[in-house]
Amino acid sequence: MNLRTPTSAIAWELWSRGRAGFVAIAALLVLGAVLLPAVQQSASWAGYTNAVAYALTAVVLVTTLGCFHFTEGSRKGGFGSFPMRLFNLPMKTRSLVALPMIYGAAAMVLVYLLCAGLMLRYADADLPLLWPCLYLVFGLTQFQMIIWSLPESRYLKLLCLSIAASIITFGWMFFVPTIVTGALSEWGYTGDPAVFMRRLLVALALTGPAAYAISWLRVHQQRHGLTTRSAVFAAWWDRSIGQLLRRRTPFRSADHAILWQEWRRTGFILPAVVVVIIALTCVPAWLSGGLSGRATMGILSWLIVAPLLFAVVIGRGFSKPDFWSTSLKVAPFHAIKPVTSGQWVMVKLKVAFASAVLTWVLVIYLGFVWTAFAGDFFGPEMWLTRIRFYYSPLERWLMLALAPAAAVIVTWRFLVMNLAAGLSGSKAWYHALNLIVGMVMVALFIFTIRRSDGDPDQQLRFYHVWPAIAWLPLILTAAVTAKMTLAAVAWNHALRGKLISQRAALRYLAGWLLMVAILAGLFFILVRNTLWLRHLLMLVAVLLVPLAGPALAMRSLAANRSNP
Amino acid sequence: MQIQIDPSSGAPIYLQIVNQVKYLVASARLAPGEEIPPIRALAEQLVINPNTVARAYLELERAGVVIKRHGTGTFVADSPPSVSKAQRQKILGERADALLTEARQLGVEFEEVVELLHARHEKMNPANA
Amino acid sequence: MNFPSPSSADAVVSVTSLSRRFGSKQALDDVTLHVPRGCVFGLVGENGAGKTTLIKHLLGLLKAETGRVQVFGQDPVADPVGVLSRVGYLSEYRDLPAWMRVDELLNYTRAFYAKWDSRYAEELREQFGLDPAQRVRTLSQGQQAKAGLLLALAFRPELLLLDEPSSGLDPVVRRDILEAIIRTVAEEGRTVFFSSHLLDEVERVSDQLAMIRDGRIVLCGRLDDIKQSHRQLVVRFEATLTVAPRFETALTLRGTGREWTILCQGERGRVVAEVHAAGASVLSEQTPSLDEIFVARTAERQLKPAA
Repeated sequence: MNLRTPTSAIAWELWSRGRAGFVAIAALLVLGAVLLPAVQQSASWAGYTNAVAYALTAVVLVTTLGCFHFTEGSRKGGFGSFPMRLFNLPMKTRSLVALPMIYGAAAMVLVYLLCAGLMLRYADADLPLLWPCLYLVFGLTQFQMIIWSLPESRYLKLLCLSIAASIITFGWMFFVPTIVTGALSEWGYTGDPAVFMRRLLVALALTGPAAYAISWLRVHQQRHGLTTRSAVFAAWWDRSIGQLLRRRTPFRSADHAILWQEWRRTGFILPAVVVVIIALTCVPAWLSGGLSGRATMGILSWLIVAPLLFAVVIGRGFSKPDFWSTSLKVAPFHAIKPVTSGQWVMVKLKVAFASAVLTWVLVIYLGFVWTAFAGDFFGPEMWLTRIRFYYSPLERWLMLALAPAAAVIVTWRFLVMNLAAGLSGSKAWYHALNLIVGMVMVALFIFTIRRSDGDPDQQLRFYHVWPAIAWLPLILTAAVTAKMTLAAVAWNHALRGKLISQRAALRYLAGWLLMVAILAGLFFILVRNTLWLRHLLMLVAVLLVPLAGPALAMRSLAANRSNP
Repeated sequence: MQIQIDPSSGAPIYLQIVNQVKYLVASARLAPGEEIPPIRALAEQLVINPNTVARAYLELERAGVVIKRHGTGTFVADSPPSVSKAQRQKILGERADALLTEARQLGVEFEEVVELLHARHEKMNPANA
Repeated sequence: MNFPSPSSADAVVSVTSLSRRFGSKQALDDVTLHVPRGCVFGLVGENGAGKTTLIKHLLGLLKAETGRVQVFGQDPVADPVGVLSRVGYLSEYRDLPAWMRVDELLNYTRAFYAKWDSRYAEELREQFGLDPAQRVRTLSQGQQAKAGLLLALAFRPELLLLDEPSSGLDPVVRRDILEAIIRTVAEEGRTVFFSSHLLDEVERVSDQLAMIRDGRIVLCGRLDDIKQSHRQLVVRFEATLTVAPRFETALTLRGTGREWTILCQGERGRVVAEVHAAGASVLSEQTPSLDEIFVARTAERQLKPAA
């Protein structure tokens, strides 16, 4: 390996740091190339070709993005910033910044072309090439710009990344011709859609150099120690709000101490992200002078979906021992504290629950405020009339009480979904599960887009899934039995290994029963006439609330603490 | 009580303390009946293990240089230690052997050595003329 | 080379035949040692010899692959709460949460230990000069070490585990930390186990010593015994030698021509007899410092290849 030039050295560094990711990408491409023709040929699964192709493509592209993050964590904590050790090299800043960006852009385009050639050609008749490549370069440059430009403030970085992720996840729809024409006519745009799209493409192409310029400036400032302004802000924050947040009194017990610590570190993440995203989506709608009833319903559905969506994403980081660090190992500072693994896991669950509650309180409040000021009540009115028609007043009041609780429970469930894998300290498990969750999410996303699209060739009718539904009771019962067995084994092991006290275990069981009761009650009221559906949903309620997960997480954490 | 110890020299630390205290007593820098620092204080002062200091004090007590009074502290003994004549001869004999060997190695005559002993004796006990 | 150490009956720490492998590297190889109550035990070794690995086993941060680890008579992995509530630990990397302030850190740690002495903690904090309002990330390395030590001392643990307490610190801070440790030792019943490669510190402070090299214990016993059994001889041969002469008891041999310096371990009579048998006379003899013993021990492989 003879690296003679800086360009090849940095290329080698990118390659060797992201090796696992590149191997995964290659594996997924091969999988797609082999799987998709088979899926397309088969009679019963042909309808899913699109979903599978898009899901694999999305996951491959996100993994490629992750391989080019090119940061290094500092000792002081946080996600990491531009590798500072490179500043000692005799290279100009503009090359240091340009090389990872150019390599990343090239890799994204290459991977997309591979995906298009191997997978997407089974899915779509006409395969667009120009705008996806431009869009992917846009995504990569924005991503790199954000993580390099905000070295100090991890919250700000997280929020910007969330906003960017949301825009990137949904923004590509602006370039699909069918969607664009529909949306533009909805919003009263009278010009030529093709011209609009061309202008959009030009704007997209300009974002790359803009991101480069900003990154160059910020990395230059970091290199030469010119980032004093942020230090001034940090000092001001420390003196004012930092003093309010400062904890002065002693803690009543170890559990309280851990709870405070976890809450300070991770409690505000989900609420902050959700509120910022919602604010950003709602404010423009408000400023545009009110919306139609349908758009209002759209925004309100977004308000309901957003916490769940972000709970899944943030749950990836939440399941790690420390959200803000890339390491999956428990830090010795925490590992040597005389607390059981069960106490840690319970604290994480409690903080996640409180986080979910806070998020929903804010969302409901904002929802009301926004609808009152900017929305059109027509859509909600229609829904309310329908509800009034179907349900008695008592049922309506019960639903009003139970629905937010159910939302909180489901959000909480998504936050702590992979706690056992994240706390295990094993990168293999963690990334594998993340990959699966990612693919499922993308598949669902594609599914909903296609459904709302009304594409006559792909529309999913009830009779398509009827055979599966006939099997559902059996599947669900088997799942419930498996869950109960697994939970019994896991909790037994945890109690015998003294990972958790009996009292705490019983408290959790009581809480679990309460949450299942709430969900089951809600489903019971919701579905009045179709009895089989009602019973199925009540089984689903049992499956929704985590029971075996926490006990498995305790075991994982105990193994993580003792075997770093 | 000012004592220096050198951990990297060959001699065990407790022995260095014992020798230095004996020297201080012999050269009258520590008067009979004067209190020497408690074990803990000396350990903290010298930044060494208190057990080492304890061992040194034990050795000094056994040699009769200091007396430990329960509850009050450790004090320099009033009277010189009582050692048998044979023991004294043995201890000093060893020292004399070392001194004479060194002198021969350096090529110093015996008379010079005697002169040196006189000079050092006067320096140690200026009161005794 | 082991010297008789106290029985494992009243040992605070008892490690028996512990081995540990990380991939292809054997980090610990059949390590056995016992730390009696009230002892200051120094673990000495080069970087990467296995000191931190051993200490992690004592805390339950690593599970014993083969062999047994017992702290206070219990397995630290099986009963983390029971063992860890009596152990104070200062890690080599002082991983304190960077975002906490000093007073928050003290309050936080206090919640875990029932025997926390607030007055003593406050006294230490003032002595170490730590500002309660300051964030841990703005503390210097020495201050972070002192903060870490404070957290380990304030609840008066029965066992103090220190992993390279002086690494990367200036002499002033090093002295402060050593003084704080001495004060702890002076209190009854406290055991201290620390690893270091600063041998003058180890010499000052330890009662017992263990030297570890490539995961194996090469020396273990009381500090005085170890020092007394090693000696450094300057010998003079009758004939000039160009090649180092072979001695069974010698660890290192240095010199040229007729005069050579030998550092050897063993009974004095045997050593002198060997020297005489080789046709040399002993010019001078002294006890080597721990530094010299350590270097000789780690360079042993140069003198005795294979076998």
